[in-house]
Amino acid sequence: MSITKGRPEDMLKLHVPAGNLECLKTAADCGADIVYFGFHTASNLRNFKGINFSYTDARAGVDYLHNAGKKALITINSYPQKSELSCCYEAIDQAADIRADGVILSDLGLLEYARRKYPELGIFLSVQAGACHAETINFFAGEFGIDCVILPRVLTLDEIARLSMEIDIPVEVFGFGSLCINYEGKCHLSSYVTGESTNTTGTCSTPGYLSFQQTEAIIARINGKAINSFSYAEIKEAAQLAGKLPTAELAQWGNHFLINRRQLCKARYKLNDGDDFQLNGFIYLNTLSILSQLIRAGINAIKIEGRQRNSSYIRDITTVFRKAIDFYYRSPTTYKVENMWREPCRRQFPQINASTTCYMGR
Amino acid sequence: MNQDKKINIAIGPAPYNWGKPQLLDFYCRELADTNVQAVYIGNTICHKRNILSRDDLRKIVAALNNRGIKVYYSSLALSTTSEEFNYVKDVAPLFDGLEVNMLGFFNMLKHDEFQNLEIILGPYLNLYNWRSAAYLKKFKPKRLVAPFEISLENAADIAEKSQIPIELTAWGNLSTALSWRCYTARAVNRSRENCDNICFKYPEGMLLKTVEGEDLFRIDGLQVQSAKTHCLVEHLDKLKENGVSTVRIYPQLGHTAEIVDTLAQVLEGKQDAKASLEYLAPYAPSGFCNGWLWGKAGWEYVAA
Repeated sequence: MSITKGRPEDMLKLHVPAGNLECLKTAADCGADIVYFGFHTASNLRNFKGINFSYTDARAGVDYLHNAGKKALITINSYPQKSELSCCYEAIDQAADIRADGVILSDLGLLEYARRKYPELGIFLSVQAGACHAETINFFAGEFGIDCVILPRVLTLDEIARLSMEIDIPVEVFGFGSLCINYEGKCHLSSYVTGESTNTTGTCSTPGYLSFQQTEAIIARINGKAINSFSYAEIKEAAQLAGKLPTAELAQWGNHFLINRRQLCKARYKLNDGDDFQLNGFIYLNTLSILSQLIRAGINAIKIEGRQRNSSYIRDITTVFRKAIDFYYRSPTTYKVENMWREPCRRQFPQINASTTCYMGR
Repeated sequence: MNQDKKINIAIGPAPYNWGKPQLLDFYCRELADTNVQAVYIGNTICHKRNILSRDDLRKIVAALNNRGIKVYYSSLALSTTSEEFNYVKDVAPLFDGLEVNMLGFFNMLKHDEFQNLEIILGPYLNLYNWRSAAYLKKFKPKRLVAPFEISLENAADIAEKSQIPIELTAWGNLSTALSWRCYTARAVNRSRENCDNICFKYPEGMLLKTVEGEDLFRIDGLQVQSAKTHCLVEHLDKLKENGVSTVRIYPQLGHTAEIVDTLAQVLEGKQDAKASLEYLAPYAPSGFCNGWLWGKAGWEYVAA
């Protein structure tokens, strides 16, 4: 694989998602080093309608990336049960067949299959494997010869720096996008409430389970469970803060506002004593402000989240991160977040705040 | 497999932070006359809750072993430091076996002092299919504790094809998430790093209700659990034919012995399952659930 560890001359690799061929080409054209994408099956998380690749498109995507000097990874990171096992094996076969550079895996059975059948195929250990301790990463390295570990979003910068020293394989971290607050691979909130499992079928609080009841407030429900309640005044205030006027556009904006708050980790709960409580606030991950610290901590690749997002997101965020990485390597000591990078990031998450999550401490 | 053997009862690791006196009382007194074959000790969620000394652990293991009960140490499911990892290395040899909840712990098993440990594949290992389970057979596992959200159909498939006996949770608040963030600390405006073990004040966790007042989840430090109690008392007769060798009961503050006795009586055919469910209802204050066993949403309850 193209990611290496331990050579100072090796620049940080930019790892960008694609939900369709248009996004893949945009990512490559805007400066991604590696593009990751999945097939139209329950073989990967983000198994949503309207995104992911057919075999034909995936083949065309790999060819496009290779012609541009980029790498292609196929995401096969669900934990299949007996009914999904065959489609996951087929996805690995297809990834090898279309000459993808590697696969992103988490399930032990799939790791064993991929390494045994395709010894030359690169293997990235998915964030879903939850490998956050050197001993665990070394287990995967020893058993399957993984080429890179994608760290769960549970580690601080100091822990990443220490971990990077303790292992011999390259490290990738999430740098931008929607933020799971829970430990990847161990979150069953959606499964508990809807019956659709993130781990096995790759879905999370899907909009199909969302309904609204309009009374003196708007109550949002997931599969009948009342997870949020917003007063009209609250939505109006948020809209005004975002610069939206009370027009027809506001209704659409309000709709997005509610849909964007449907995840169970962002629901408003009542604690024992009646106080409001959220597992997670309405935030997204943006590491531009700590990019130099992450690089100094020893990371080798940075990942943009969002295979479900459109080409405008891919263009904005890939472009900004390409510029940021190039800036750092041109002048590490003067690296700073340029003003012109802020707007594209805010544009993609207009209704919520940026965070560096637990990288800066728990 | 296992059709002719009786189903054993195991006590899962204690949730929450009960403190040393409560833990000693639970293991040395409350479990004294219960009909269990295995007990798991250790906190799978937070290393700060591992407050029993080596002497305490030796005392508990000896007391339970004297009654013919196997005692296993349950490892952390989420560990990021050497200190946490080394603690497990240090205490595991005191036990009959180790429930591995993080794959990294397999690395230490090659050392001599761990050769005699019985290995249990823990519920946090995400073994959702028989091929994943079978991959770990080289560590000679005694049982596999099924992931919390797995259906009986899938658990049976793993048992049949991997030939590893299954331990299935039959009672308790199930894990619905782990996080880097301590939710108990967050609820009282503290950080995880400066929590001062505040969870000690909440030995039954903290309820999370929906905006309409329905009990939905329960906070256990870094873990979120189902508010409802997962209960299989009405379905115990179906487990044996599906490769289940052991049922797991997660302890709770008070009445664990009664819960164990009730399930044991039903397993032995001495008590009616429906009547037992009614008897157990007061011990499940947010109600019963078991939907995951049938491939449904976890909060649902399927009656026999």
